[in-house]
Amino acid sequence: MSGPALLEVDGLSVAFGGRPVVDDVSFSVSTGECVAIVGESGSGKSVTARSLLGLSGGRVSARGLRLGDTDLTALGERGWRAVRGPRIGLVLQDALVSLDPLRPIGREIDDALRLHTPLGPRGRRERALEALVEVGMPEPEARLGQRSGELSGGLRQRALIAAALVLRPELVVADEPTTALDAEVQRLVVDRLAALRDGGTAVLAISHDLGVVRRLADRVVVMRAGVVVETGPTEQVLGDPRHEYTRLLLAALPRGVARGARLSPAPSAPERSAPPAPAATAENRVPNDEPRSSAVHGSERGSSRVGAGPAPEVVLAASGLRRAFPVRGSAPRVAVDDVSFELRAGETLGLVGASGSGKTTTARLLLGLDDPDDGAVTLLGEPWAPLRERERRARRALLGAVYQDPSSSFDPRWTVGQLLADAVTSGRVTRPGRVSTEVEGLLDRVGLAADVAERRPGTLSGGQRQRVAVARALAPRPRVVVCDEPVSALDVSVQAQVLDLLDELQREEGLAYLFISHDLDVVAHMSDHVAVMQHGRVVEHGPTAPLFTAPQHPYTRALLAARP
Amino acid sequence: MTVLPVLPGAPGPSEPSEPSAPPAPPRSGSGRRRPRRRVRPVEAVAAVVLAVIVVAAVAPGLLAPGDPLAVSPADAFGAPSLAHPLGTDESGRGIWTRIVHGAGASLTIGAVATLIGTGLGVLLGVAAGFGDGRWPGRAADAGVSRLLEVLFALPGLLLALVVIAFTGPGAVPATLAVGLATAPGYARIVRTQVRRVRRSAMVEAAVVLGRRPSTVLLRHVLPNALAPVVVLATLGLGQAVVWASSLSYLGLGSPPPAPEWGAMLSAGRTYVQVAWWMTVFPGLAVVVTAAASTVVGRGLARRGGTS
Repeated sequence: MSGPALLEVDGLSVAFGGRPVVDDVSFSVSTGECVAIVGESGSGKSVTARSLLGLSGGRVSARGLRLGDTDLTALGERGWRAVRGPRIGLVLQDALVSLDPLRPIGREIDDALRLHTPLGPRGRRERALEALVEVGMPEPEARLGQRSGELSGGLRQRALIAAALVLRPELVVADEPTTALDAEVQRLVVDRLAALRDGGTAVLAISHDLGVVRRLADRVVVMRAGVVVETGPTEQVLGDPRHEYTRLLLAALPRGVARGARLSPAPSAPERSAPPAPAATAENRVPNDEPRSSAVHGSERGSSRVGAGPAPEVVLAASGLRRAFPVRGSAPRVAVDDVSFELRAGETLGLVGASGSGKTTTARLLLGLDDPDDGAVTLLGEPWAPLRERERRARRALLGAVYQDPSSSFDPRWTVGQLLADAVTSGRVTRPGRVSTEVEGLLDRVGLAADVAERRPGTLSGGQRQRVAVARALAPRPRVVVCDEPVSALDVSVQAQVLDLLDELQREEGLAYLFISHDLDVVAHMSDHVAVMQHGRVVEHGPTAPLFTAPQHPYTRALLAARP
Repeated sequence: MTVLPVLPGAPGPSEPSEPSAPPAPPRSGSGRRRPRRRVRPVEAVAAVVLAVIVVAAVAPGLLAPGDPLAVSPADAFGAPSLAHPLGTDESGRGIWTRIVHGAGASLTIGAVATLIGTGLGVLLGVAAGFGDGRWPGRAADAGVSRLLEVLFALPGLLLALVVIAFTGPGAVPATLAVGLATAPGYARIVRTQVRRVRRSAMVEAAVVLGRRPSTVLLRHVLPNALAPVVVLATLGLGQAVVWASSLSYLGLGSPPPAPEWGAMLSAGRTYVQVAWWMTVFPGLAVVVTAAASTVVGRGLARRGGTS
């Protein structure tokens, strides 16, 4: 399967300010092999990858760090420059910030060639074109002259890969290459990296997405808190994990887990009043290849929906929503076109689609942050949009929202206690002291300790912040909560906890959720019904299980096929 | 800040999704996330100077017990000496005494003018920036922005002269004039800041929670938008002092007998050949005040995260 080890890492440690971040990590990558490092944020996986390029920024020590015959530990800055690019290519996570917005991508690629090859302008242009064709860039000729801002996320990521590949490095390090990309684009990027590996290049992929790892990697290195906890062939590590942490990561994956089943270990807090949900054990986890069917494996509530009982009350209904944005010098861009659906108490409607398909605009229309050009939204049978904000304000409490990036939705000057006091009292009180019981109650409901109230959101972890966001959304006792990509910025294990929390709260409060996500597995796990959006229109809409097992619309089929 | 990474060209140590802090040198131990920003020597000196100037403004008698207006023809045009450390003017009044007693006037004019400037700037900036792109807000933004552009077309000091042309000279008109002349700059910054906060997810979240526009403005937009303005105001204080002195120098500010720095400069101009101390020291007072408040303002700006 693979040749001799190209990259050998033996006892690598990296410390920042005397604090070890990576501790005694050893692994190797052979030519034609892909090794994946997985782990959550802060596990040291990115720092490990960057050390291989001399970019970690910390104090690096290793018993051995070799690329072929080169001892990387002995390199000076000049030596590193001869390795970075020609011998090790780096593909970064965020192509938007990794590409200079002022320079055409052709120039970015050209730079590498000019520095490291004797080619003339003609030859360099040909090589750059070749590299773009190789990464599957449509219309490569035209792309050479475009800047990163003119490209979509997927095209930017491909441009970045092309820039890393153009010098034909022996080793490609890909740091979260698919994070923040749509399923379809993700698939393309993974295919590129796989083709590269099959062509004899060694690939080191850093990812927290186990689906991507499963498709791409030959071997997996699992890291936690700077230490390798498990390593081995992909099938063995992901199929039969030895270490408890690896098992935890795998259990956290929503793929194939029945609606209502827990993804994370049950909380130990004894005062938790929620009815215990069945854990994601072997019995209720559906085999991975086959989408789950809630009729067979659903939780108690899930099956009652399938049963003949009366349908729950409709709390929010959108009919014929349309919103177009004027574009200077051309026809208006229709972001949302004739979108209709109903949200019922205690049920979740999942909204999926590629980025730019109108999911977030739909959410904004429901939240009354933007008014539809046509169509209407009713909340509990009364008109909600279009309506004047003044007439709507009194009923705002019925509708809550949880956003993708909670930290930007909090006033940075406020502590968690102030945020929640403001939300509990409809803005009358912003000192947590007078309503501390309510604030503590809210924190407890979302599984946070009472002393979190004194901290600022900026000092909390991503998962804790999202819990605070959920607590704030629940404070006015809403009936409907709009969740716009609530977990897409979170690690898989934290994502599992937040999803479990949302599920639990829905069961307790009978909340209706509109759950927006680009992650089909998450939507399948969370939703009773799913609406698929493309170019602003709902192309398919129906109960989750049939939609996932027998999609009708070609676009739904394409989306499902693109899942990693 | 000179925090040297161990290896050059280093991005942050943490995962890319986290805010990355440059690695602190090992000796600073705990402060890994937020590198400590030490007070630079020049900032310490500037702060001390500013403190002395404030003392002079509040209690001039402490630093210079004499009377700044007491005329003593016998001592006229005295070079710096023990009795008069900075010399005397054409009427035998001590320059040191007059500078110290003039600090109050100069600083008051500067501070009040800055207050007027920032106050007006906040009003105009909020009016222009708080709208949501629909009718009333949009019209306000267009109106205020065009007005600001007209005002920006005139140099600040010229604008102040125009105001004085209407009101006539004097300390109060000069203050007003400098305040009005500095307002457009503040207004434009406030407008940008207000728009930034207005469009943030935080304000959207407040709207979703059902907060009124007034609540949103007072509780979220103003506090978050004004932090950089407060810092800029300390920077602007020095400029306001210079402008106020300039107006006095031109005879448009405080009338002659008052110990005002600009007026003293103007009076000394005639005798610059025989009594250099009459112009140099009041001029230095203006420069030192402006420089000290600018350095302190810059220091605050660095810490406040405003560039």
